[in-house]
Amino acid sequence: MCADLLKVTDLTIEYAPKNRPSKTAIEKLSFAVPSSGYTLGVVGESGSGKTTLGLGIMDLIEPPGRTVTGSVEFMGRNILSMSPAELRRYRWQEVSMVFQSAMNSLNPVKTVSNHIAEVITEHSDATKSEAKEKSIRLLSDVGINRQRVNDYAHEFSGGMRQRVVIAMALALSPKLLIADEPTSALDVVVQEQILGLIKEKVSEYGLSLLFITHEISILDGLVDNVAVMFAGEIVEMSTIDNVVFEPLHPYTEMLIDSLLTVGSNSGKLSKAMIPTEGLRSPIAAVGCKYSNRCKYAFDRCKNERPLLKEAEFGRWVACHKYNK
Amino acid sequence: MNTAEVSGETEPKKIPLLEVSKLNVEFSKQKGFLNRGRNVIRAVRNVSFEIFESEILSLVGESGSGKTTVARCIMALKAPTSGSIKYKGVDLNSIGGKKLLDYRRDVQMIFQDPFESFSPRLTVLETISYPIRRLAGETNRTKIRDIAAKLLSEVGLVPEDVLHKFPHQLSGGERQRVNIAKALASNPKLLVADEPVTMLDASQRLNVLALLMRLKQSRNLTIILITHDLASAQIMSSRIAVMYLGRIVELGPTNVILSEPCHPYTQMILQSTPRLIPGHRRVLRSTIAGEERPDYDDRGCSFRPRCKYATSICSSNDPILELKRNQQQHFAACHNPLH
Repeated sequence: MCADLLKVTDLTIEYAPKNRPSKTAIEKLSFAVPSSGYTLGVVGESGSGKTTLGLGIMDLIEPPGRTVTGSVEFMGRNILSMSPAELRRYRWQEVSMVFQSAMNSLNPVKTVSNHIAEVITEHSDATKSEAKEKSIRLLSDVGINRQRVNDYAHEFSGGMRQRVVIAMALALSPKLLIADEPTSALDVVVQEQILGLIKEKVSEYGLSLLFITHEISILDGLVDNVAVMFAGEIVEMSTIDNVVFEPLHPYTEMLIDSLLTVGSNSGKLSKAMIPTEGLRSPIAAVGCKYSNRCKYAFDRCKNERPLLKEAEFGRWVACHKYNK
Repeated sequence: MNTAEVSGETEPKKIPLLEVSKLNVEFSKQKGFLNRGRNVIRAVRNVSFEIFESEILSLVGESGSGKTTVARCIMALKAPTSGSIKYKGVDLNSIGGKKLLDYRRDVQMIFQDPFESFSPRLTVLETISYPIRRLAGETNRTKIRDIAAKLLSEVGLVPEDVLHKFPHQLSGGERQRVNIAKALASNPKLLVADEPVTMLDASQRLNVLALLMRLKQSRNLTIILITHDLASAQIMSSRIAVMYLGRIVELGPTNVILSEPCHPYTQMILQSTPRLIPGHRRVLRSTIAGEERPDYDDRGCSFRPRCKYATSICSSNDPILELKRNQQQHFAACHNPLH
């Protein structure tokens, strides 16, 4: 039997604060990471649920958030029904995560190698001295000089701190790495180097990668596949070339149209919507969530929610235009 | 007017609207116990540029390059350590009181973070009323409301929808539009836009840039666009100034800077910017090319530790910004320019 490495089925996660109406962050979301070595970029705007998805896969949703329905299976085991001890091994040994702005959450009174040693002792049976030794090896592996392993986080630049966080995520050789906007606070040059480091480690360790970002252009050269999220759903999923150069879903089309890249923008400004039209119509409660803003919307879109289906070989899209 | 246009075109040398010359800003940081010894950080070093009426100039650079400090000096929010800023030929250092208020009317700023540049307890109307009252001198409440409504519709918002809303009820793009409306209240000539779209979602960025461009045309605005993103600099501006560690390292027409950069730093950021070309995936490298921030030493070129073209002269002599191509107004501060 060849089970998927990670299989998310009908996952619904909502945030229900006290005395306030609950909000659905992710709705009936299903996708799979079929094998090791599969790299997927998850693209979405703020509020699209991409970070919640990453946390959901780690089972790190905290109140007032809760997983309402669905399952997250890792190599055939549902992680949502795991015991705390099993979860502890699952996290970091099977799946690890580089959190958004993790590089600014390093403990200021701990040396960088201690951060990594702690991960190793907490999530495996290694002794303290083994952990220390391994942490030094990991740090030099991500390009941090041996002489600097006993330095503190504030003595490092942003890019170097991000390297520390990546070394931490690789500490127990997981099978899947989830990276949530790891480079959004960095300058372009350093950003490229960090993406290069992630790419190098992913192929070196044979990892699968789930890279969450709001900027589709940085996925260039990093991942093979892209999933586009809108309002808690995946609306399109395919290879990066398909998504970027021949988008199917109208939302993806709009995202790509408003993309700014060096060299290809002549005329983009004059074509940009006049401001009043650029305002956001609310997300539709019935039918397709994008139907209020969609220039192709027809009757069916207002009444029936489209499901993510394979429109062509390897091209998944949730849109009535294609799923007749 | 016809005559004015003709004379403007034939005049050999135009007078710049704003002229920044030899601007230096130093921050001193306390060092050690009991303030013994001081660490001086030179945030802006010898920055000179000029901007002409109805032009858009981009200041491009990474965080810490000094671009926001330059903007704060232009806004008269920060006094430079040395150097001068002249607006229509008048030195900012020499004016105060009513004249300074006049200057603030003419020069307005759009801030980077639309989530933090509003008071959460004021409605949009109250926020916009302030500059209308203070800078445009209007006191009648109905008139203030009318002016606010007009400004909001000029930036593409529906006044009745947003006037009585609080900032948290608006999206990032809407807030940035309110920010722009607020900046327009005093009828400025020069806008300093500090990373106006960085915090916005991708689908809103192009819209807000298009709005700025439209306002530039309808109101004949001059804009200094501060950005770290070469793509928005390309789409908006006629000239680009690239800053690195407090200095302008390259300055010239946008198309020349992007197609034939002279300075290795400009080349480096151009090469690191993803382009998304069909059928061509970029090759990511993990090499660390002197990523560590070099020390602020005074001798030699500050880009030298990261530069693959550096020679011995780069560590002894500080390159100055000089004309590389006479006819194209292309300046670079480099001993070994690329083109």
